[in-house]
Formats: sequence, C-alpha cells, structure tokens
Amino acid sequence: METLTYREALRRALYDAMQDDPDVFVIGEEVGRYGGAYGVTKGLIDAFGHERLLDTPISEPGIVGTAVGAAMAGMRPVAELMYVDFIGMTMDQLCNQAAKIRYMFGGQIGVPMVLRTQGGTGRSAGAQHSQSLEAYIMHTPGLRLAMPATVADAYHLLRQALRQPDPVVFIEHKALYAQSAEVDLAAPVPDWGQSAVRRSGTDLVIVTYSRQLHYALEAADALAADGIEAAVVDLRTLNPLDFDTIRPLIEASGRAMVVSEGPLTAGVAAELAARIGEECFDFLENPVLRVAGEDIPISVSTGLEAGSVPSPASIADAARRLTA
Amino acid sequence: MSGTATSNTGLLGLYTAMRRIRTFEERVGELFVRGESAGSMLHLSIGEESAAVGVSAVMKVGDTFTTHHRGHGIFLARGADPKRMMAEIAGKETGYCRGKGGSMHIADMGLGHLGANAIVGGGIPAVVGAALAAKRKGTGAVSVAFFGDGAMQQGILYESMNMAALWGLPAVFVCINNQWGMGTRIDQATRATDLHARARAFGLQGETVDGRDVRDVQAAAARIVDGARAGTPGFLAVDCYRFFGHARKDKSPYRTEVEEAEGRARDPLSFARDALAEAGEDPGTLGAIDDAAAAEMDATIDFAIASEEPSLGSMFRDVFAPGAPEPEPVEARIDRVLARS
Amino acid sequence: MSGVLTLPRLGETMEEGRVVTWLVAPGEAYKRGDALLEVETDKTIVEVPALGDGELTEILVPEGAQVRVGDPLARLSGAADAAAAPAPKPHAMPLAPPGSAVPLREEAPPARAGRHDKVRATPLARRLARDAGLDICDIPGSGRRGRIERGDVECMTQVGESGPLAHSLSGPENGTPVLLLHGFAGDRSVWSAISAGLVRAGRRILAPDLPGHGTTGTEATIPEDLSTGLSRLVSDTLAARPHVVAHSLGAVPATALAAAGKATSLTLIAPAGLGLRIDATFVQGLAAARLPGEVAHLLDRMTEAPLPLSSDALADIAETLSRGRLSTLAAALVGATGQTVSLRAELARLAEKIPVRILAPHRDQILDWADMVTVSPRIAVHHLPGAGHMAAWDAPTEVLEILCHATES
Repeated sequence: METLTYREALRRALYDAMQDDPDVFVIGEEVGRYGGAYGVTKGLIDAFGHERLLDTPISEPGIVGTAVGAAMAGMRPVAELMYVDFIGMTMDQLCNQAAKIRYMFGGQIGVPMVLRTQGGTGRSAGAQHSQSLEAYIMHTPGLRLAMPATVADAYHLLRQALRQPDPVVFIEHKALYAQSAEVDLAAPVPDWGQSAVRRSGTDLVIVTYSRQLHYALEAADALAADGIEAAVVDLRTLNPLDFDTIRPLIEASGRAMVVSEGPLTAGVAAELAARIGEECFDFLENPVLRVAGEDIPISVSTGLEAGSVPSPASIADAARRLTA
Repeated sequence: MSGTATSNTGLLGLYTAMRRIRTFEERVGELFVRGESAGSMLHLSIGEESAAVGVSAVMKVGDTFTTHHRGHGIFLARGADPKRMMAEIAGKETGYCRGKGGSMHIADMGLGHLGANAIVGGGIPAVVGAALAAKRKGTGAVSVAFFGDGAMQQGILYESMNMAALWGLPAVFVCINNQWGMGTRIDQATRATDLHARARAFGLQGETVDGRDVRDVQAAAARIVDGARAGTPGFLAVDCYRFFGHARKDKSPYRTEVEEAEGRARDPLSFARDALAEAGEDPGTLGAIDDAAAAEMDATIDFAIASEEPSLGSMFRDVFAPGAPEPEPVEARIDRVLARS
Repeated sequence: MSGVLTLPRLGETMEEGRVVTWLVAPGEAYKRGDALLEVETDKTIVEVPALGDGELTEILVPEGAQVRVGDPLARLSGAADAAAAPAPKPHAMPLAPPGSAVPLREEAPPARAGRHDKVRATPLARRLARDAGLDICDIPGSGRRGRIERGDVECMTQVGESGPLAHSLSGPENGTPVLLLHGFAGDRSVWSAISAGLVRAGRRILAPDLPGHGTTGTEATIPEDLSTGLSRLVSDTLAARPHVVAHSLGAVPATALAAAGKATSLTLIAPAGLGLRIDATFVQGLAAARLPGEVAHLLDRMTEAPLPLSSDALADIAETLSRGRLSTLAAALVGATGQTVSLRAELARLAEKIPVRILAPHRDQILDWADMVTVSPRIAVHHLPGAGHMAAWDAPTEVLEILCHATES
C-alpha cells in the first residue's frame, strides 16, 4: 500500500507505460519542460528526454493529427489536450480522422492513440475552461472514452487505455488531481470496460462517473442516515459502456438516477436514462431521473460555478424525492 | 529546367503512368454515368497527372503519404491495383476498403497510403506523425501530404508545416494547385498566391513548379523529397489546371470557356507525348501504351461491376478492433427491448 | 380564522380547486351539513358542506376562479370554526370497501373499453400484475396521484409463508411495526392508501386477510375464528409488538390480540362490538347479495358521498360476495336484538395497560357512533363529524394523521 494523489497515479501510469514500451511518447503543449499545466507529466522529461516528452506549439489540431499519423505509423502516442474545452479545435482530427480510419479503410489499420485531457468545474476557471464535454466523444462511433474517478483508476485506466487498439479519449477531472488515497497498485482492478459498484443499496441506483462519483457517495451516506440505501455505480468507461452491471441493480430496486456533470440536454445522463428506460422498463417504479449540469455556460463566480452542476446535496435531495 | 535528369525511357515511363491515370479516371466517369458508382462525389484529377506521377517517381518503397479528395492519380502512381480501386469506387467488397471508403477514403497500408481524405486539409497532420515515427524509428522513410490549393487556406497546414520544421522531420507537403477550390479560384481565396513563400516562412524548403512538364515536376520533387529525407522538410506547389468541374456533376459555370481552353492547353499528357514524338519515339509505341491503358482500365469496370456488394452484416465490423463487441444494430436492440417488455 | 371559510383539501393530492357554483348567497343562513358551494378539483366536482349553523356574509371568490388550498373563500358569521368538512372521496384507496380486489376509483370509467388508458401504474406494477394474471384496473393505487405501485400489486398477490394468513409486509424493516386489520367483507387491500401513508412515515406495516376473507384459505364461521393464526403471524413477521389498528369488525381480533399482551397500542376505527345497535340488513345483505344493484345500495350506506364505483367494479364485488363465504359468520354476528359480540369490558381493561383510541364517525349508518364514545374515560376518542362508517373514505387526511400520531414509537 502507498499513498498517491490522482495526479501522481497518472504520472506513474505514464512512467510505467513508457518504461514498458519504447513506442509510447507524450505529445502536447507544456508536457515536457513545464511538466504539464496540471503537473501530471512533471519530471518525466528527466527520465525519458524531450523526444518522448514532446513539447508542441499551441496547435491543438496539429497535436491530435500528428498523434493520428504516428499511431498509424506504429507508435503509441499520448496526446495531451490541456483542457477538454479545446476539443472543438481538434474535432476534425479526432472525430473525422482518428475515429473513422479503421472503419473507412475497411479494417486495414487502427489508431492506437490516447488523448489525455481534463475537464469539469471546481477551479473557477470560467466558461471556456470548465466544461464537461464527454457527450461529444460518446456521440462519436469509433472512440473509446475513459473517465477515472479514483486514484487507483487514474493509474489502471490509463494503463489499460494504453493497451487499446483504438483511439481512447481519457478525460481526467481537474478537481481530483490533488485527491489522495492509499492504493495497492498491484491489487486487481476491473477489466477495461467494466463499471464498478462503489456502494451497495437496494432502494435506488445512482449511476455516475468521474468527480460526481464522490458527490454521489457523499449523498448516499446522507441518504443512509435517512434510511435510504442507494447503490452507486462508477461507469469508469463511457465507451465501452457496461450496462450489464447496472441492469440487475436497477431491476432489483426499481429506481434509478443518472448523475453527470455535463449539461443535461442530449448528455451522457440522457443516454443512460434512455437505455434504462428501454432495458429496465418493466422494473421501474419511478421515472429515471437525470441529475446533470444546468443547460448554461459555467461562470467564473464560485457560487454560480458550483450551482451549475450537481452537488452532494442536490443528488441527495433528488434521491429523497425519488424514493418518497 | 527541362527534364535533364530524365532519359527518354524515363519520360516514356512517366507518360505511361500518366496515361493510365487519365484513362482510369475517364473510366471512373463512365462508371458514374452507368450508375455503377457508389459515391455521388467523384472528383477527377484529369489535367493534374504530372503532380501525382512526378512526385511519386521520387518516392521510395516504405515512404508513406496521405491524399485528398482528388487523389486517384496519386494512389495509382504509387502502385495501386486499379481493379481494386475501381471496385472501391463502386462500393464493392473487393475494393481496397471493402466498399466502406469509396473514392474519397481509399487507403492501403501496404503501399504506405495512410488515406485519402474528404476533409480539406484533414490528412495533412498525419504525415507529421508518420514522419515523427519514421525519424524515431530510423526507417529513413519520408511522409508526403498531397492536397489541393483549397487547403492552402486551412490552418491545419500551417500547424503541420511548423511542427515538421520545428522538429526537422522527413515530411513533404505537396500542393497540387489546379487553380480552383471548388468554384473559387485561388486569387479569389488569397492575395498570397506565391504559395511556396508561405512554407519558406516556416523554415521549410519550398518551390513552385509548372506541372505541364512532368520531368520538371519530378526534378523539383527530387530536391524537395531528398531534402526532407535528409532532415529538412519541404513544400512543393505544382501548378496545373483542373480540366473538369469540381465533381463529376459540376459543369463549371463559374469559369469562362476561354480560361478552360487555356488551361486544357497545358495538358501534361499532350506535352509529354509531343516531347516523346519530338525525341523520335515510335508513334506505334505510344499508341500501344494508350491501347494497353484502355484495355487495362476497361477491365477495371468489368471487375467492379462483377464484384459482390459487401454483406449487410459487415456494416458493424471494424468500428473497433477485431475481438471487441460490434455495435448492436438498432433493429436488434428494438427486438431485444420489446421482447423483454 | 374565525368567520372565514377557506378551501379545504378535498383529497390527498389536491393543491387547488375552481369554484364552480355558490349554493348559498350572501346574507343567506345555512344549517350544519348544508352544501355551501361546489368546487372542481383535478379529479371531480365536490360540494363543500358547512360544519355548523351560520350565515354567509360575503363571498370572496367568484365563480370560475381558481383557488389554492387554504385560501379564503367567504366570510361567515355564527360559525365557530369555518373549516369545511373534507367530504369527497379521495382518489386514494378507502379504508374498508367490502369485497376484495375491487377498485374504488373516483373517475370510474363507464365501460371496460379504454380502461387501461386511464390507469396510472408504474411499469413494474404493470408487469407484476400481468405476471399474476391480474387486470391492472382492478388494483387500487396508493402512490403519487393514485399511481399503482409494486406494493399495491403485491398486496393483491402476496401470500405470506409463515402461516395460513395471506398478508403483505411493507415499509422499512427497522420501522415501528403496525398491524392493520380490515372489517367485515373487506381484505388487506382496503389499507393501501393508509398503508402507503404510514410507510412514508417510516412504519413497518403488516396487513393480513383475516380468515374467511380475501385470499386467506381458512374460513371464519364465528367471530373468534377471526383471530386464528393472527398471533403467530405477528410473532413470525414482526420484530416487536405492533401498534394494532382495526376497522369495524377488525376490532374483534384486534382486541383479542391486545388482550394477549401482543399490542403496543390499540386504535379502532368505527369499531364493532360496542353496542347492540347495528344495521343488520347491511351485514346480512352483504353476506347474501348476488346482484350489483344490491351491492350498490348496501355500500352506499358506508359513505356520505356518492358511491364512486363503476358498474364493472360493482359486478366484481357482487361476484365475490355471491360465493357465500360470509353467510355463517354474518349470522353469528347479528342476533335477534343486535350485535352478539361485546368488547366493552375487555377494552376498558386494556385501556388501563396500553393506549387505546377510538375514531368515531358521526355519520356512521352501520353502527352508532354514540356507542363508541362511552366505553372508558381512559379511551381517547377522535370525533369525525362529517364521516360515515368508511371514515378513511370521508376523512382520509385526518385518519392518516391520527394513525401516524397513534403509532409513533
């Protein structure tokens, strides 16, 4: 057992992957000498040199496009996008190129790259640096999507992502970097594409991921004090999406809530709610609730920022009303 | 700077390559007219053959490249099997991409073709990545991005050239300047029509060459590609003219007949044929080359038409790597959901 | 508040209503029980009756206006407290409709065609009902807006494992246990609404079908038979001594259980066994009824408002009753002079040991409320002036409130 932060776990994953595979390299803005805008790659340049910690100009489409070409040419690039908010810049390279190359070319070749980025609120970073845009990715066939919530997953999901034959978008949460936990990295973890039941409960099922997992767990503790036992599922990856773990839990409880920091409309929660509605229809006692970000841009004001996304209190409140 | 490096035999080979491309594309047009083409968007490179052939002639086995939506000629020049190309354009299982890519998304990893691209400029940064890989792995390969003059106004080109120059990569950027980006002439899209100057500004070796004489193109390409192989990435603009419309259905009402006549007068095939005749080449030899190309390309149409359509079941294949569960068809999902409720 | 008539809550889910017609004009006198006005709720149109004699001095809300619960409607003089009686039937399940598995919905559709379109039921409830071969329309809903939920269906289908008594259990396992006993010709389903309310208040609810009733197989031919298996069921299923709540004839096994020391408290709603007087034709009629018309006339006596049953529902009740399962018991309950069972002495003794409450509906046409208020000074009596024998039909909010209070741990 050792105590690691989420940030250190990511760094450890990169370090170990680069040790194991000489084709792995990191490419992005400020990843080398600066050590990453959030310090994830700090010190790696000392171990691996600037050729494997490739600092780039501020050219997001070029970064992703270069990673696509390098992946096709046999490398294992880890492209870093400083903020997921910049993903719009890269949409062509990500969604038209990386996501479709295997399919368009009849399965001749894949694009085994990882696009590491981070999103979410919590740093008062304003409308262009605080978004949760995972739905963009989830909406695009051909992309895998991992969103680690825990320190252990920060390590293992990144290692797993770096073994995938297809492009993986790996979205960290900026509010989790400093979170620390005692972890045994040698302990077994769920396979790639498996969700994790982080808490058991028979009254309702809360399906969530990334930072909202912690909020949901906090809410579940508050609910338990009221005699409401909520199961909490951490999806871990949104593509693949593990519905098999969720289904029996919802069938047993008859109630489900999906919690996502991303905007409500046409979001991840909407997709999950639709699936639950379709697949668990005959087991539902209540409508499936979406507890998600408001359909508004994120403000820099800390109060407005926090109010724009679900909180432990809002999750617990929704759960109480759902089970009343 | 007429093709001093090329012997008569060399020009005959270049002519043959260009003739095969032209005939192939004429047959592609026929395929479309016969209603056998899978795509409604067929972009022909007739008039631009010297760029494809001249640059390809100096590339080596192991080099990689990406092309644009008007890239049939480049792929053929790099050794593609025209039958499989025509089958792909017809959307057949026997095509290079099993009917999923078509004219604008054709690729073959065996020939180093990292993919044609239907997004203007979309394929350019991949050569930076491929060149980076080549440099790191020490393969000695170069990677060449082919694109049209329309991409000269796309930001991704400049990001890519900048990074290639910054890192000294074996990357080459070839702009096939056929003067027209769809219905907009180059001088209607930019005041900076001296295209290679832009590349030089980023620290690349840059040239512009008249595409009328394929030997000139080949010579310029040799300088640029060899320079890239040695660590100085390069840029080459090939001036030529798009003989036909943007796509097969486009009759080009936006340009004058006078301009078209002048542009078609710069035909690299006629130029090469005249040069060969002038140099004493037997007209029978040239006729035989043309006939052979016609026969070969006629057969591609027969092959494409006779080939099987991809099975519907293949639709869900290759979204992800083999072994991963295929996406569930919507109908199967509906069946499953309704069976349970 | 004195002198102001406010809009009463005329059903559990009612939040507002529309004044349809004023039936008393300003300056006009009225007597207790007179209808003052008609109000349209989201369910139906109901009359708001006066609770005492008085005079209407001023109308504050014109006809056609929308009013929220608690808003003033009119000024009154001579009325000590102007709150109106909650007269109408709630959408939620009433307390003791005779005949099991019978819907008592306010908007009783005229025909079977299209019935399912109007039923609110959760997908889970629909599936459970389908699996059990039940018509979803025949299940009373206890959920939000009368929605049929899992518990409602299980109420109809679940048979307990611990004895011969069919029963349902609901609510948190660590909740304060409450035992609900239905009356003559009823079954546990009559408690759906009350049960749901008590579960929301954190109670653990056990509701059996008494012998001779519902899906319980054992028969009851004499009043004592109603206690068969009850004591064992309670000890098998509940972690602690329950609060016992009974309606009408349910008072008989309830009192026996309490006398055996197995009740924490006893709350009786319109209890039988407290006096000779009883509407004998009601009891004998239900035991002998064969036709829907007979059933309609008999059930009409249990409530103040019009009977909210469709012809289909009445036919279903008639079909159940016509099996004649209750005829021997009915004969044993009513002798030549009246009721044969007396619980008065036992209740008086019990009231010295445990809390005993009686809910006395003043408009009870089956039993005499005056008999219910004189058993013992130690028995707390709750008066329900506007309610009939089915007190939970006529005063659902009040009954639930009283039961919540009575079953606090």
